[in-house]
Amino acid sequence: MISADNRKDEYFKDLFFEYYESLCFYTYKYIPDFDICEDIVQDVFFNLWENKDKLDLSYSMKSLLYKSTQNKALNYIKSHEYGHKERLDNSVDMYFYSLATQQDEELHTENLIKEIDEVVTQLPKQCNKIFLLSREAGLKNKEIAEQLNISVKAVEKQLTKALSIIRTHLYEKGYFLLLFLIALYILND
Amino acid sequence: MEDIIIRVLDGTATEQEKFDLKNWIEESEENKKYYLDIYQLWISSRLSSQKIDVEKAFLTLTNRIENKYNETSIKNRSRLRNKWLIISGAIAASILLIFSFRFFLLPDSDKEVNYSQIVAANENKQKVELEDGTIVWLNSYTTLLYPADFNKKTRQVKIDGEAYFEVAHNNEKSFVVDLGEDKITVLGTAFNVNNRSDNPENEVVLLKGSISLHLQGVKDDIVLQPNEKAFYSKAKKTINLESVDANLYNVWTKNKLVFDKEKLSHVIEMLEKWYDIEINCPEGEFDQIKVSFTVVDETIEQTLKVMSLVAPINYSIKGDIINITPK
Repeated sequence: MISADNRKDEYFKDLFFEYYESLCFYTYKYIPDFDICEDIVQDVFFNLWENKDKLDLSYSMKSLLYKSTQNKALNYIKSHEYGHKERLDNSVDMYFYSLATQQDEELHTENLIKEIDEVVTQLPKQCNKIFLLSREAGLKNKEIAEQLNISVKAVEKQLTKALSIIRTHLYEKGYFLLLFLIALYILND
Repeated sequence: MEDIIIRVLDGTATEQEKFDLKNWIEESEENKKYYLDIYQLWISSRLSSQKIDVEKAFLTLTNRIENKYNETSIKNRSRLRNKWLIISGAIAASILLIFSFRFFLLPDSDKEVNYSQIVAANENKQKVELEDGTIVWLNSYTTLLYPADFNKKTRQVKIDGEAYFEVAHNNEKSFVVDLGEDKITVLGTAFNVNNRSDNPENEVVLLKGSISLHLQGVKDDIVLQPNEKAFYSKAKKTINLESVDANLYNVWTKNKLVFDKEKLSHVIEMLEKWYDIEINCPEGEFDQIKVSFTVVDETIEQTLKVMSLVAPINYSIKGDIINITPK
């Protein structure tokens, strides 16, 4: 049991509260299912706890946590979708995973999310409805198409439209500058 | 190319499309930037509706740690407290044996069963493994009762509320679910029972195998086939059989609520149970509207918002009073 008078236990608890949520969001980039994301991050902390006696408290845990979460997520994908490792490593999917995780994991700021929510309310009616069904309710394009009795193509069109409007709006507001700088940094690296 | 991006994000792009997009991204810095922006929006907009309960997650973790390190002592303790009941969230999936139905009716004298053991679920669902290997999921506010000598000679349990059963097969001992006056007899099978004593109408849905339903006062037993739902009225002693997609009926055990062209009036009832709230809506108004959607960990506000998008309704939330009205 985690006891309060143990310094390492306290430290472990702090780490959990500091990183649990952002690690779940980070995992979501690999596996778009929050239940699985939470399971994976739980495993990461469980393993950390099992090895806590070996932990060096002076060492920054952040990169270790992200690295082990990434490993667990990739292992999950490999075992569930690819059967064995080599196939994923050489696949085009791996390219998109690595592209996605090049972005800073802490970019999901509350401000950005609020900003997005606001633009969404200004979208044309059908566009707004489809975007909310996709992003808020988490439906797949096919499910939205069935629900609204329209073609999958039409859903894709509306989603593209919504994302493009939001993107333009955010540019006007000065967002994405940071993203742009990071992209530049990665390219020049 | 924009359509392909959406398909890649949706997970429905073909290998060729993914490859094309990869080439396009590598073509220019601008393209890469465009993709990353759209990707970022796609993820962020989904995250905005997600609320992760870190406190609860921490509790789950500490429980898991406790379980792992006190495994032996917990086992011993539960053996003392109760010889055979192990309540655990970590029971390996049981192998379901699908077996044909064998008619089995309890003699009247056997009806006096002393249900001395009780498992009751509060607002949280609970998973219980019985001594014979049968797994029972109890939905919120459901009570499972069983005799102290369960599995000695017979296997009989009583249910008030909603439960999903995966019964371990045993040719020698039928598994009997006591629904008050009515009974379900099974050998090895998976089914969902909704038998709330405050409900005039109750239902049994069969997912796998075969079961027979014995209603008091009804001469012939009703044998259910997979994907059949029996709807019965205790007071009127009437029973209706209906073909359903049975897999929809145990979704609650998976922490998910799935509606497939479900009557809105029924959906509202389910949501009341799911969220344990009361929803006011005009009687009979929503029987004609059918909706399809899934609830996972959305808050009631988020769910109502989605409903108002797919169905012609308005809603209002004032404190814990929720009103739904036709548009």
